[in-house]
Amino acid sequence: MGEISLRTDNTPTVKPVPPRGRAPWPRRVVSRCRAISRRRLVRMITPWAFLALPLGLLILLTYLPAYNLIRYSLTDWDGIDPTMNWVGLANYQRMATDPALYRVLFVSLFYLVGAVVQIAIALYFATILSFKVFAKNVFKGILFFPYLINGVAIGYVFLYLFRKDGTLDTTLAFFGLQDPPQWLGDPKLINASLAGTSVWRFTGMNFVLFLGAIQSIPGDLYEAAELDGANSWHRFWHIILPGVRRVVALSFILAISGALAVFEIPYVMTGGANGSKTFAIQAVEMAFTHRKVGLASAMALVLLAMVLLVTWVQRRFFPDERVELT
Amino acid sequence: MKTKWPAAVAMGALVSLVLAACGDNGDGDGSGTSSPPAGADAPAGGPAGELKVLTHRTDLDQDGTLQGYADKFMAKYPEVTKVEFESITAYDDDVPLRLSTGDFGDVLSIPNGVTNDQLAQFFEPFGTKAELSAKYQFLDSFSVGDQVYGLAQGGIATGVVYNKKVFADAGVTQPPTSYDDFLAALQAVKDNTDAVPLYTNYKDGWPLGDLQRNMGVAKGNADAKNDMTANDAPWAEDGDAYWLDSLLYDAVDKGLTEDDPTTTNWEESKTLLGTGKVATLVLQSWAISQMQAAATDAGASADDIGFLPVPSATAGASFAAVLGDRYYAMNAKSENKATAKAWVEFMIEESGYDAKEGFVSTLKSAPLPSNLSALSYLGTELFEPTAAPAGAEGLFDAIDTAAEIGFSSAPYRQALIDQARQHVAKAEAFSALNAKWAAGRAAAG
Repeated sequence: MGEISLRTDNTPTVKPVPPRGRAPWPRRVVSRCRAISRRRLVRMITPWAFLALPLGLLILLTYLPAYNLIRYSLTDWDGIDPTMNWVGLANYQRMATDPALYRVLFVSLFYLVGAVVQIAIALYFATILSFKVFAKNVFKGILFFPYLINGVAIGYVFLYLFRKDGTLDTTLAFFGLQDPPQWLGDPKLINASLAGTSVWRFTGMNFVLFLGAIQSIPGDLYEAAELDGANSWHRFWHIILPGVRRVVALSFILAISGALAVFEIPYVMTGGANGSKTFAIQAVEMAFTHRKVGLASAMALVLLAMVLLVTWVQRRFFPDERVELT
Repeated sequence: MKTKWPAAVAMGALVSLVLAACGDNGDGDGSGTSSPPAGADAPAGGPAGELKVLTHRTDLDQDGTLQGYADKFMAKYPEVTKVEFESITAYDDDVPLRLSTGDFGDVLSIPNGVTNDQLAQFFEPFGTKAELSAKYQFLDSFSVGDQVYGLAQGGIATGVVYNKKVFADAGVTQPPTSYDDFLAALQAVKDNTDAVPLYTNYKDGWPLGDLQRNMGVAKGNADAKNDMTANDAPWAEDGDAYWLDSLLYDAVDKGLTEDDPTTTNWEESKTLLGTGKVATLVLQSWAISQMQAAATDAGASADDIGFLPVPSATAGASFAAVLGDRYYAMNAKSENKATAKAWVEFMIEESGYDAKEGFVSTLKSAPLPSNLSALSYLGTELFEPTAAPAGAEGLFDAIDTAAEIGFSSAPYRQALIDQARQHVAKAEAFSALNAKWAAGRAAAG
């Protein structure tokens, strides 16, 4: 609005030379310049004003704690004392020289195997349920439902499932299997039981990811394949699997980092007892039982480094290539 | 001009965020100071104004018992306008983190994990040991030098809660007080009844951590923990720590505990004991009233619940350590210290809290509670563990931390149970602990 009226105002008249002491340009022109610069300023600020809230929260809740974590990892802080002594890299030195701190990583292997099983199950059901099946949405709901339950609640439910003469033992007895093992009491079985709980919980999330990816594959591909005489295995291997490859790769990254950092289920169910201690539980124990927050912070950062490294190696060997189906 | 509105909204949101943060800060600082400095203008610093109390007893907060004490307190001191309770479930996890902020009320229960050399930073002393000891006991645990930073909420005696009926069914007629008799009694329970002889409460863990209170009890050594700081091998045969952990280790090794320790449940353990499905639990005297209540609730008789001293090393003698349960402390940054102190004195002397809980009163003049009558009947000798000598208050914790044993933690004894279940030789398990302790002493001593 303003711009047009300004131009019509100014063009026809030739102004006399303004007397000394006055602004060389009519007031309206000056104000117009000011208006533009203010508008430009507003335009510059606007995105940042919008971003201020999320960025502020991000800094407050992610980067600030991360910065503190790094700071603590260079001290011998006990988590209570107002003073913390700078110890340099001593905590990292301990991490590098004490193999006892890494022994617990062996436990993560159980969860890694569990994650592979989980991806296989999820892919299987996602493939089946992406075609015409009886009561499809009910099955989708059933498969996804465990993911919606709070992890602590799952821990307690499975505690009752696994206990002696609990739900699992009773069910097995119904099928004639007497004398079941102690699912959590046997140190050889405990990690498999816990990894099984983890599979039950997270299959739903993988399932939904795969289902979404499979449904984005154009339907005419299946028709064309059918005309060419492809059976369902061929369709899975040559159409569906390449189509969801990136999502599968992503799932593997999440699976590996998840297996390294597994915490919630074993912590709620056993507290890390009976040989189920994971790296993250050990870090928590170091911080709150042995009051070595500095060392625990260093452990957390080493865990982060391990996850980043795994991701990097994974990306290195399976680069992110575009998938062309058509 | 179109852009102005959203920008203004965003800026407004930003401002409100900043303001919210400010408000939060003010509050964070506040709860210590939120009480108006009424104590300051009250005559001669008498109890007045508002008081905030942090407590671990969520149950008593919810059922109104604490408010009942507060009402009595305000009736006694009409100048006090409000007593606010903040009860915290994960008390020992949350409160230590709040200590360094100063935001922990005016009065609190001292959380586990605070070491004695840190007391002066956070808490206001109640007075000197010389003046307080005329009236109160259990002063040693949270004293530094002559200053007393914690007053006990009540005292408890170490021991074993057991089901008398199960022992009778198993043919145990004489209450076992010595180590050998006790293990024999557990074996008899296993052989002659269906009950679990000893329930570890492995899953919940804290009852295992609390076993550290039995340190020195087997031999009646009040100095056991202090001696340990000067000993490289406290788990060597016949040492105090040896006796402390042997009971658990041997019982598990001989199969005298529950089959699957990983699925134990504390709340359930009360009912199991009350109904005779479990014979014994190693706990302190505070548990007696809870076990009796659970027995009654389950339709059994409260009279079946008995209390024994912790098995002693030698036959013919038995001991029980009597120690403060939780301790009250005052926030050093509180602006209402007079009221805070009056509250603590009221709780100890007049509230009736200790009698309700079956605690030994912190007052020296009060008689022993009735639930400890069995101990007097058995001729058990009561003693109070000696405090660490001046200058070495934090030494035990420092060695324990450096050794990464966690003497009062659950994971340490859970690991012992794990080893005992796999029948690792006791000598082997204990010598590993000795090695850790010695390394801890070298690092911290």
